[in-house]
Amino acid sequence: MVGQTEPFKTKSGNRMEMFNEFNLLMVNYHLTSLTDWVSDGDTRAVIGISMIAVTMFGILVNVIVILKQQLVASWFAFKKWKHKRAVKERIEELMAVQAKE
Amino acid sequence: MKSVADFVKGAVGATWASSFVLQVLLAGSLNTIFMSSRYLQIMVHMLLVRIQIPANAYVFFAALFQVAAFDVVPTDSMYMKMFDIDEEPLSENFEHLGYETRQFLYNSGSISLVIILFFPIMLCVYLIGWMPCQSAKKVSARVKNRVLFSGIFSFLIESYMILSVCCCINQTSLKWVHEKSWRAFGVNINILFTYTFTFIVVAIPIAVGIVYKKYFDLIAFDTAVNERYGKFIVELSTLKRGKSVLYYPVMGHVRKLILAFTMIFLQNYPNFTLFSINF
Repeated sequence: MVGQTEPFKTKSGNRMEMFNEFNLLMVNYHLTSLTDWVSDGDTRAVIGISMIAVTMFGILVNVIVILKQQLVASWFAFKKWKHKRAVKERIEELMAVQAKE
Repeated sequence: MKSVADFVKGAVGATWASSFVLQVLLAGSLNTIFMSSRYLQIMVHMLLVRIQIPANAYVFFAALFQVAAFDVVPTDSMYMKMFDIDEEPLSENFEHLGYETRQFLYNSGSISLVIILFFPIMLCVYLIGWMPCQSAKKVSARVKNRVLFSGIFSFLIESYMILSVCCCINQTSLKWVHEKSWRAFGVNINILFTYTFTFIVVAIPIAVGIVYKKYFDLIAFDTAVNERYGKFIVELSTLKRGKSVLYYPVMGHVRKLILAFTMIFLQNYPNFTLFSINF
């Protein structure tokens, strides 16, 4: 559904949603293999570790995306603040020149 | 495994908290945080399916559950003492994950506490609004818009999965106790909360649908609407499928509700529950 409708405005939003859904599907497959289909204890333990690995990978990607967004937002806020300060300084300079004249 | 789980829990919690604060300060979009919290909530709740899950997976997911459930305040002992709760969990899976009783208040933890605390806060805000002072009225109107609509509605939406699971769990033991004891008071008040929140849980997808249909076009132009609903109306693209894309958030909630329902009431059919996750 996400692939067909692309509900979010941003490309990264759609990609993230697709990735999360895919991850959920992967965990679902792991859980399916943990039903009575697999009875061997060792195999079940391996499936458990694999499930944790898939989840951790998903969480890692999510955390990286959030941190990246955080960095970009901070960078733009810093640039905005710097620009505002430069404009203010320039105005003060011009006013000082005008006052001298 | 416990230390790995604790590390992941800490990392996720810190990232969410710092990003949330930063995005609120810079008036940015909270969409990515919400997206990842929704994903984590469904992921963690998958372990409630009645199948034998390895112990290592339980340890890992139980630690993650505390972050996914926004359980920041340790409310368990408080509710235990207040209501004298002595009920047994629904099953072992539920107990491992943190749903240790069948009582709504105990299971929902910090979420119910935030919602309960919200009412006196709002009463104070309304009282400030009635004061004969223009600046107080301004502050009250602003807080009303930001906290009442954006804040609490966003909070309900983000904790929807946990609320629906807690409601469904308490639905399995709805027996009023006619006694004069703290235990009876605890059980009865939990039933009252369950009825209220069941109504809210069913109403939320409908409310989300109405809000999206009514305000989606206005959100970009109307600042008053933006201030009220801007935090929880996700920017959706109508380019590919037109207005039908507005049903996407509604379907997301319906999916969680179906998942909670099948996990609790159809426990003996784990394959069916696993199928319903893909709905």
